Amino acid sequence: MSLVLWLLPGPRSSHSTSYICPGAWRARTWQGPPVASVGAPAYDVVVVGAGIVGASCAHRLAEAGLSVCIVDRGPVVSGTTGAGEGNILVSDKEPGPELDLALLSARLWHELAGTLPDAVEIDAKGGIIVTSSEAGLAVLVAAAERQRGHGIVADVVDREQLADLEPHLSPVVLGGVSYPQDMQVQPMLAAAHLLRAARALGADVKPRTRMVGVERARDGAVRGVVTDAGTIACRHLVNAAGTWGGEVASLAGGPVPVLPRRGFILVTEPLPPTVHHKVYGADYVANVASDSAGLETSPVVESTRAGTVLIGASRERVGFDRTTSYDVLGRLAAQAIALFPVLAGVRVQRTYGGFRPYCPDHLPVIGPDPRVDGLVHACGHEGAGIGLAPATALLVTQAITGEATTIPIGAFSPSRFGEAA
Amino acid sequence: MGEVERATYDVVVIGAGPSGMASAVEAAAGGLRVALLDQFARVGGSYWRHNPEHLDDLAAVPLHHDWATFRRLRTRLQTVDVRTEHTVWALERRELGFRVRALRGEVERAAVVLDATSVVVATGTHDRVEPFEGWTLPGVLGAGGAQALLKGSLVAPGDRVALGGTGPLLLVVADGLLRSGVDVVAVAESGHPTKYGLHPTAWSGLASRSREAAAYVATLAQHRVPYLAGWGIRAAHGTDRVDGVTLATRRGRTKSYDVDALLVSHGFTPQLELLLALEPETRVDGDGSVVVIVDDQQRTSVPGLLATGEVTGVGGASLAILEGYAAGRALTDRPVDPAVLRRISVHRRFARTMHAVHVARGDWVRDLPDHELVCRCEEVTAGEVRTACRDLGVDDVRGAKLMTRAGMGLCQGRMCGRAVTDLVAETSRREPDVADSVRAGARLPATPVPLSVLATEDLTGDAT
Amino acid sequence: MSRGEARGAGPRRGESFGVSLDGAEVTAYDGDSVAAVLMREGHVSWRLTRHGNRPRGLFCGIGACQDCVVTVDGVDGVRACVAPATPGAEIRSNGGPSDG
Repeated sequence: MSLVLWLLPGPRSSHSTSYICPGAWRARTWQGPPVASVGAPAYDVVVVGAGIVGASCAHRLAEAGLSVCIVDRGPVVSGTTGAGEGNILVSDKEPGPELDLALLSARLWHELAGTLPDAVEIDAKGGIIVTSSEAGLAVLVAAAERQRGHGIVADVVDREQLADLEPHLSPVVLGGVSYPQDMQVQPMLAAAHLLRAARALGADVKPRTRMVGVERARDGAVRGVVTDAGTIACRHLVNAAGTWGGEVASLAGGPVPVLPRRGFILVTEPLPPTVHHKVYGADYVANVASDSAGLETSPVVESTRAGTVLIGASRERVGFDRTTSYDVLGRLAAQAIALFPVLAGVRVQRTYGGFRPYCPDHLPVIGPDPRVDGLVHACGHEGAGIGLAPATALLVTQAITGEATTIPIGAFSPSRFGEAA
Repeated sequence: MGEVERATYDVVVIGAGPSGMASAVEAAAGGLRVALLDQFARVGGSYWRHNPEHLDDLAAVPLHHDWATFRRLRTRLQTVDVRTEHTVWALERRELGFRVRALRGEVERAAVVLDATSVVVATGTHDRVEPFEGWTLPGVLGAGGAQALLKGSLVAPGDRVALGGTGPLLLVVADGLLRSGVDVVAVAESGHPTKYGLHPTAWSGLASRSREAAAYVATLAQHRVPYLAGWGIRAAHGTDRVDGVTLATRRGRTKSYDVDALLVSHGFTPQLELLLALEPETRVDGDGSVVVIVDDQQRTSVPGLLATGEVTGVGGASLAILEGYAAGRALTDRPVDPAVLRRISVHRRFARTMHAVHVARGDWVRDLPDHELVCRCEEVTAGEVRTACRDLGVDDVRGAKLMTRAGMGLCQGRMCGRAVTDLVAETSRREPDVADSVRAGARLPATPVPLSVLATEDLTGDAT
Repeated sequence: MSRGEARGAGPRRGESFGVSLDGAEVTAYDGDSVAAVLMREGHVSWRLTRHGNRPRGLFCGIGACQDCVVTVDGVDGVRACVAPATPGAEIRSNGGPSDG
């Protein structure tokens, strides 16, 4: 990836002299001349990307008293957030930095559940990983053992207990591990309500506004985000562009390797309660952690409050290709039926695809970019962005205000990719 | 997993209405192996929906239109593989040609996979119904759907019927009901048909069409049925079924009638979902519908993909038949008779006038109370969509769908898509984006498909 | 002649046969859709919606809206306007996922 800085000055501002805003996050009281057109407000932070991560960041930053503007090249929630199932999972994570992030985030989601309206459908339904082989079960039990030492509740369940938890599971399923901490949320509504709350705290939301570059001071610090609707003066730029985070990072001069990993989901017709937890096959964890560019599928089956059943999950690295793969849809259907034979005659009424923001080491990119003063990343969460959004927002806010972060963020630092990124 | 039936053709024609029949007949006449698919039990489409007894029943002739043409086309289908009761759920472009996936039998739902070098999409339209208070009450029906019921099974939608909306179809349906002994209490046409006078050339070359229109108006007069130009439907009344209707002018004059059925058509919505999946070039037609762009041989911008009839612009059955013929000629590399091309342009000119005269009033958005449903499947109210726009920053049809579930149900937004687009545009004060409508109109599957059928894709796809 | 039936010395109907409607034997004619049978028997709605328990019957009449779905031979979600009535078919109103 190129290191070339994309310095695209706005048409009316190329003549302006450098102005370094002192005192980063205290910039709210800054009375200096705006960088861009007369009358345009200057912000402490411009968040790029109005998905769940951007919305969470805007909300948390506004709560901390910063002036915030959030831009998105499309309508709100038009990227990966609108194509997700709304997972808030701890079950699929091995002990390590991502699990710490997930546990912090789960706690924050519980807090949010008390403030967001009921419509966002936060549901502590619990997850169950199942397997039909003795060897598979041994792997699951060992993983559960490792996770338990790190604050995860992981109960090994046998066939009989499974029949109580999920009466429609196939009899070929031998056993599994139940994770009562796994949750689900309606991700689009959650993001929209977070944006609404951010607006109530004074944040400005600008949909259909595409970032095309940054404006930087002589010392290299960010001092404005250049968009197709003019330059927005700011001291910090938060890159919450999800799968398009690599593009935004390059525009901002701090490239990070975020790539799309395509997934399809099947949505059935509404059913009476049939699947009660998030139920997924043991391969799922292995596929999430895999580096393969080829197609991987593993069954993930769960109900929504609307009565539909969501069926995933596929992973492919095929760029931003939206072409429907009938082979993938077929595999997802076959795997779901293998897990829940009762679904065979049930009809799919909708399918959709999306692109997870994938980093080679499967960790998100969170924190200040050492190469560009004022650039803070919050992207690359792969399929876990919904779950990890509140913790990401907290860490980003702490990094910008100069507070100590609740958990160490070194593992998520953009500098881990080295200069070659 | 059940068995999958597979077959290969030169051409698959989807939709056995006037244009689909004409395409199939003409392509087969040119020596191609052709399959003609339709979800209903008999060919003819909504226009020629009929009872099998009617084929040689002189008493049935007044119920139908261009009946001789239908009988002639039907006879010529002998060399075509006619597959009725096939509902297509996906159209896929492949390296060589296309793959058409269908369910055979509305109850059986068996998997059928057909490969073809070329595909003609002739899927027609359904009635467009703008929401109004009480529009989801049983007994409120699409006018075209009610006519299909009458022609197919000799069942009338009610004994005392009002019609409302806009377009010539209202007259045609009223005529059919009156001939069948049904009491038609009023026909409310929201446009002003006298405006045809502003387009005198529109009728040139269409003498039979103007005679037909005059005959319908005469039938209405003879039965003393008021034809109310400039009137729209304000509300349908009733609890478990419709028992009354209030009509209104723009200025607020109202008339009420006791009815047991209310037939509505605010024009038509072309059924484009199969086409849009392949991303051909589209345009917005004079009636506001998204339609596919075709050349004078009905070819879309996607090589091998043709479209005929209402999906290329609503213009009626006579135009559709000519377009079907042109497509069949194109598929067999034979020239299209220049006289046909001239007739096509005459009909298209008339269609433009028709779209200009029969304008849905569009004021339903203002009149629809917050408590009324816009999405019938997921039971989403107008108020919920308005709130999503005002509070959650929704400004497009996709956002409304994700936030309120409008358009997420079994019909996948076919019924509410355009209404939600208008409602969002009005509330968010943002002009609707055609690209949004096109994206929202690409639906996969095009009809609900059993997981067991989908699962066969995994095992039976190409061995690559 | 039952209500809903077109009157007058009109066109012929097809051969008659029996189908079961909610357990009762009723008459259908060759060429009928399931919706035609239901409406000829005087039904204007035959299912309730999931959320509001609102009655629904035929709406678009041409296979697009999914409002008229009914249970036929134990299969839910059958479009009554599309499915032809066949001799001995078991039609159940208020069926389908909307039932509960």
